[in-house]
Amino acid sequence: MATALIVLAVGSIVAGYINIPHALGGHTALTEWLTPAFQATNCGAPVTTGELAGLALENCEPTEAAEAGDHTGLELTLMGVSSIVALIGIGLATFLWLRNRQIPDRMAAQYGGVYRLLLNKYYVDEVYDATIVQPIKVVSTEGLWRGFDVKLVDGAVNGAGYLVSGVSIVLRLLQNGSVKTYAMSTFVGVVAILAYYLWR
Amino acid sequence: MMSSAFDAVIPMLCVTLAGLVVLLAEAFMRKDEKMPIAPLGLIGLAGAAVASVLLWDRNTESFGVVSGDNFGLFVNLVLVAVGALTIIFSTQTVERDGLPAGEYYAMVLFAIVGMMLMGQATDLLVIFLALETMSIAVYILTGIRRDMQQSTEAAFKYFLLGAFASSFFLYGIAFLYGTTGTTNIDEMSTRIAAQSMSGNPMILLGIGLLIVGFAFKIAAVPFHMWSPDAYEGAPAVITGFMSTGVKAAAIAAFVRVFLKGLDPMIADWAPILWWIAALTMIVGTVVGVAQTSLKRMLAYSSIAHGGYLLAGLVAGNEVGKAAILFYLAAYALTNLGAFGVIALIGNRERANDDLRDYAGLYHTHPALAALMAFFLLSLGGFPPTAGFIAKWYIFSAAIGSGYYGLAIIGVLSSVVSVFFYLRIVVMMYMTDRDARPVPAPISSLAMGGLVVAMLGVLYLGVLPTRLIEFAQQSISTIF
Amino acid sequence: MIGLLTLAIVTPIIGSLLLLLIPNRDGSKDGLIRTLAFAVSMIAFAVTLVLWASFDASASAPAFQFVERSSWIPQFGIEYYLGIDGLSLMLLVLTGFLTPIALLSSWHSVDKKIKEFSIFMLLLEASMIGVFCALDIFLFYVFWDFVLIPMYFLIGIWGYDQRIYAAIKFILYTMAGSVLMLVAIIGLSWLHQSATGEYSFDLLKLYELTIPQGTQYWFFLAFTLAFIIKVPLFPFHTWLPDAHVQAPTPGSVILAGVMLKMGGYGLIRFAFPLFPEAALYFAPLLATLSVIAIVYGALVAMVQPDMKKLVAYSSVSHMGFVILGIAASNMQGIQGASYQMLAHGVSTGALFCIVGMLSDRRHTRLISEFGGLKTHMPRLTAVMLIITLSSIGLPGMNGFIGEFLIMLGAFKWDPRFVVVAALGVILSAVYMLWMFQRVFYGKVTNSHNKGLPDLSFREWAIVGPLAAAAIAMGVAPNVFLKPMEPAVQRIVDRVQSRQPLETAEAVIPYSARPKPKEPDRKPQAPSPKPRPASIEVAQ
Repeated sequence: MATALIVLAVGSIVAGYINIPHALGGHTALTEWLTPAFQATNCGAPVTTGELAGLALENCEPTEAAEAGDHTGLELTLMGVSSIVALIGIGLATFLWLRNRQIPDRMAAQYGGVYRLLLNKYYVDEVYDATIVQPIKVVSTEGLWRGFDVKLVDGAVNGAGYLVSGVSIVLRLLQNGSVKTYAMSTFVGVVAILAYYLWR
Repeated sequence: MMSSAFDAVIPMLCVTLAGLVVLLAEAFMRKDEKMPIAPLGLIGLAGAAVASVLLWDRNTESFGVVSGDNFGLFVNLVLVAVGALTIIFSTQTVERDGLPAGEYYAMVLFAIVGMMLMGQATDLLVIFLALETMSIAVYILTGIRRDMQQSTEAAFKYFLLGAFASSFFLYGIAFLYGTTGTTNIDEMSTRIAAQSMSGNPMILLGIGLLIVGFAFKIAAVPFHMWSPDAYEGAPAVITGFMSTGVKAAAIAAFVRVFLKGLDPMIADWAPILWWIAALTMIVGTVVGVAQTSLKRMLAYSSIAHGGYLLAGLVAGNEVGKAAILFYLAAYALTNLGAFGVIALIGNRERANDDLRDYAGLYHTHPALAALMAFFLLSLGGFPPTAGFIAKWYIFSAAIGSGYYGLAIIGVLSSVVSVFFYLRIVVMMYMTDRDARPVPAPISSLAMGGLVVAMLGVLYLGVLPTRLIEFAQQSISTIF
Repeated sequence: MIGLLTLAIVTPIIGSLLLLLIPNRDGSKDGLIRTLAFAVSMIAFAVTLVLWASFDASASAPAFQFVERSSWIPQFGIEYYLGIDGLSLMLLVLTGFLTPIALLSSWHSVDKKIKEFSIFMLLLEASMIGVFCALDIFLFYVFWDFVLIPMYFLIGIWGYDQRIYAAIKFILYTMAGSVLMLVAIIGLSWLHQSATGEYSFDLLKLYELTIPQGTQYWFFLAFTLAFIIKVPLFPFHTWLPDAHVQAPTPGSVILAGVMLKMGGYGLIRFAFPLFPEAALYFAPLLATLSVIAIVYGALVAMVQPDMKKLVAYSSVSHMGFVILGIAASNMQGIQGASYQMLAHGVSTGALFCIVGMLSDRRHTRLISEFGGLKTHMPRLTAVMLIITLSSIGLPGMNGFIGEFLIMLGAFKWDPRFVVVAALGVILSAVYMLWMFQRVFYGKVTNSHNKGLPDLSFREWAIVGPLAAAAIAMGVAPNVFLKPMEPAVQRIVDRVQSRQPLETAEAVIPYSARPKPKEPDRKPQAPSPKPRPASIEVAQ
C-alpha cells in the first residue's frame, strides 16, 4: 500500500512542478499545452457524415482572451488559503489522533448521536436503500412481476385459452346423443333460415 | 375416341362394374378361399381415373342430366384418390376386425358411384338420386361392424337424421320446380335471371330448404349434430371415407346448384351461408378443444373444414370455386392419411382412439408418429403442406369478395384448431411411453398408402401450381 | 448454377436429410450425427460469410443483391423471389454465426434423440435464412410460419419441466398474430390486383401501391401485431419468459439470438415501408409501448430469482430499444435498431450459453444456489463479465453502439421517449451487475459450488467467438454498419417522404358482391402531428 502512495506522491510533485502558475514564477506549462484541445472540441465546422451527422456545433474563433488580464492576486490568495486550511487539518488530526487519543474518544462518547451519524456517512446509503432500492424491488416483485405480468398480462393470455376451453366444455354437453335433440337442432336451423327470409 | 351418349358416365360405369364384380366374387367364393377382393375395387377405380383423364376438356354430356365437364371430372379424380386410399387402408381393418369383405368393398364402391354422380349431375332430381345412393351405402358402412353396439347406434342415428334432412331437400326441390318449372340447373339459372324472382317467397323457401339438405350432408352448424356420433361409431377408415368423400360430393353439388343454378339470386342466399360458415368454423374448432376421443376430435375438425369450404362458397368468385376444388383435393389426402393412421393403431377389441392411446407413439412407431404429425400439421394449415395452400386459397377468395370478417374468423379458428391437433402431437412426442395395448404390425401396403398420401400433401404444399391450374380449368368450363 | 441464397437455404435442409438417413435408434452414432450437424451449420455460416464478402456496400449498388427469381404460382403472381440488402445480409450472418454455436452448446445439454434434435435445428436454420432472404411476401410468410414447427418441437421435447405449456403457448400465440398478417397479405395482393389487373406478392411492386388510408391502418395493425408478438413487445411478451426458460440451451440461444430479430426485421422491411402513413401515425403508440417495455422488462428482470428468466426479461427490455429506434423512423433510429438487433443477438446468445453452462453443472438456475464462483471458475467469470458489460451497453462493447444510435434517433424525433429509455440503460446495469455479483463474486456459500470445472475446450469454442464478436462490434462498428447504410437509407426515405394520404372516396372498390356485414373500416381522422423540423436525414 505504501508503495502506491509513494508513487502517487511523486506523481503529484511532478504534476505540480510542471504547472507552477505564473504568480510563483512558473509557466503553467501543462495548462497551456492542453488549452488548444478544449478549443477544438467546442468550436469547429459542423459534422456532416457519420453517426453524429446533423448535430450543430458552435463555430467560434479560438479565443486569446483567456490569456488577458492579470490574475496574480487571485491566484496567490487561493493558493494561500487552501494551503493554510490543509495545514490546519493536518495539525488538528495530529493533535487529536496521534497525540491525545483520549480527546476524540471522549467527544465520541459525549456526542454519541453526531458521532454515529458521521460514522455511518450520514446514513445516506441506508436512506437510498429504504427510499429507492427497496420500494423498487418490492414494486417490481409484487406489483410488476407477480401482480401485473403474471396475473394480468399472462392471465389475459391464459384466460383466452380458458375461455375457449370453457365454452368448449359447455357446448360439448349439447351433444347428448339423443336423436331427438339432433333433429331439434336441425329444425331450429330451418326455422332460423325461414325467419331470416320472413324478416326481409 | 369415338364419342357416344354414354361418355360422361363411363367413370361411374367402371366403378359400378367393379362393385358388382366384387359382390359376385364374394358370392361365388368358397368358404375359406382367399380371393383378393380389394384389388378388384382398385382396378375399377383405376379405370374410372383413366376415363376421367381421357374425358378432360371434352365437355361431354349424357342423358341431359350427367355432365362430363372438367369440374365433375376433377371431383371424380379426387373421389378416386379417396376410394383408393380407403381401400388400401381397409385391407388391414377388414381382415383384423372380421368384416364381410365383399359387402364392405361393394358398398364403398357404390358409395363412390353415388358421389361421382353427385359431382357430375346437372339436374336436381338426379342429384337427389345420387345423394340417396351415396347415403344408403354410407349408412351401411357406418354400421358394418354389427357386433359393436356403438356402430349400430351410430348408423341408425345417421340414417334417421339423414332421412329427415333428405325430406327437406326434396321439399326444396319441389318448391324450386314449382317456381321455375324445371329441375335442370342450367335451365333454372336462365329462367331465374329472366324474371326477377327476388321477392318470391316460394323460391326463397326452396332455397332455404335446399340449404338445409346440403348443409346436413356437409355437417354444417346447426345441422351437424349427427356427425360426431356417426364418425365415432363407424370404423376409422370409414370415418375417413365419410369425412372426405361425402363432403367432396356434397360440396360439389352445392357449388353446382348454388353457384350455377341459383347464381342470379346470390344476394338472397349468401347472407345465410355466411352465418352458417362462420358458425361452423367456430363451433367446429371450439367444441373440438374439449374432446378426448381422437375420432370425435377429428369429427369436429371435419366440421370446421366444412366451414372453410363453405366460406369459399360464400365468396362465390372465380377464385372461390377453384379454391374449393383445391381444398377438396388437399383435404381428402390429409384427412384420409390421418384416419388411416388411426385405423392402423386400433385392433379388434378396442378402437384405440383415445388420446392416451397415442402416448409415446414416437418411441415405438416413429414413422407412424411422424406421418400422423405431418397430417395434423397439414390440417392445422402450416406451411409447407397442402393444408396451408388450401386455406390460403380459400381465404384469398373470401377476401377478394370483401368478406374480411369471414376470413378473420377462419384464420383465428385455424389457430384454435392447431391447439387440439398439437395435443395429439404432444401425446405422441412429448410424453413417455406407458403401458398400453401395442398395435398390431402394420402391413406394408397400408404404410405405402400413408407414404403416398404424405408425399401428395407435401407435393401440393410445395408445388401446387399444377393442381391450381387444373382447378381453374375446371371452373372455366361451367361457370 | 445455384444461387448463393438458395444454397444458404438448402444447405441445412440437405444436411437434415442426410441426418435422416443415419440410423441411430440405439444412440451409437451420436458423435457422428453431432459432428455432421455442426459441419453443415459451419458450411452454412461460410456461405453467409461469402455473401458478406461479395456484398457491394456502396450507395450505387442495386437495392437488392444476389437476386434469384423464378415463378412459383403464376396464377397469383407468387414467385420464388430471394434477394438481400445490407440489413438482411447482417441478419443472415448472425444466423449463420449463432447456429453452430448453438449446436456446440447442445453437445452437453441435450443427450437424447440427438438425430431428431439436429434435424430440427437445421430445418430451423434453413427457415430463418429463408425469412431474411425472401422478397416475395408469400414466400416470406411460408418461411415465417414454418419457423414455428421446429421450434415447437425443440421446446416441447428437449425442454425442461414445463416445456409443453411453454411450447403450446409459444406456437399458438405467435401463430395467432401471424394469421392476421396472412389476411392482410392476401388483402394486399387483391389491392394490387384491383389497381393493376394482376396479382402480385412481389414486395417491390407492393411498395409502389397507393393504399387508401383506412385500409392502410388495418393492414399495418395486422402486420405489426404479428411482428410485435414476435419481438416481443409489451404487452405481448408473456410467451417469452416461459418459452425461453423451458427451452433447452441451444433452443434459447437461437430463439433469443435470431428469432426475436425476425420481428424487428419484419417491421423494418414490411410493416413500415408498405404502410408509411399508418406507420407514422402509430409510431408514437409503438414508441410508448417500447419505452414501457424497456423499463418494465428491466424492473421485472431485476427481481427474478431464476437466471434464465432474468435473461429472458432482459431480452424484452433490450428489444424495446429496437422498437423505439424503428418507431423513430429516421436514419439513426433504424440504424441503431438494426445494430441493436445484431448486438443483442450476440450478447444474449452468449448469456444463455453461459447460464446453460451453469445449469448443466448444477442442474439449477436459481441465483441463490450460486455465489462466489469466481474462486473456482475464474475464466468463466471473466467471459461472463465481458458479456455482462456488453449487455449493459458499456461504451467499447456492442450494446453501446446500438442503444446510443437509437436514443440519438429517438431524441431527434421526440425527446420524451429518450428520457424514459435512458432509465432502462441504468436499470439494465442494475440487474445485470447485481446478478453477476450474486453469482460470481462474494463468498462461496454453497458447498456444491466448490468443485465445479472451469471452461472446457468446447465451451471456449462457444463463448470465445461470442465475446470476441461483442468486443469487435463495439470497437469497430463501422464494419457492421456500412453494409446496412444504403438499405436503411432507402427505407427511411420511403417511410418519411410519403405523399399525403388518399381520401376515403378514392378507395379502390372490390367486386360488387353484396356484403352481409359491412366491414368496420371507418377511416381514422388523418391528423399526424406536424413532425418537428429537426428530422434531418444526412444526405
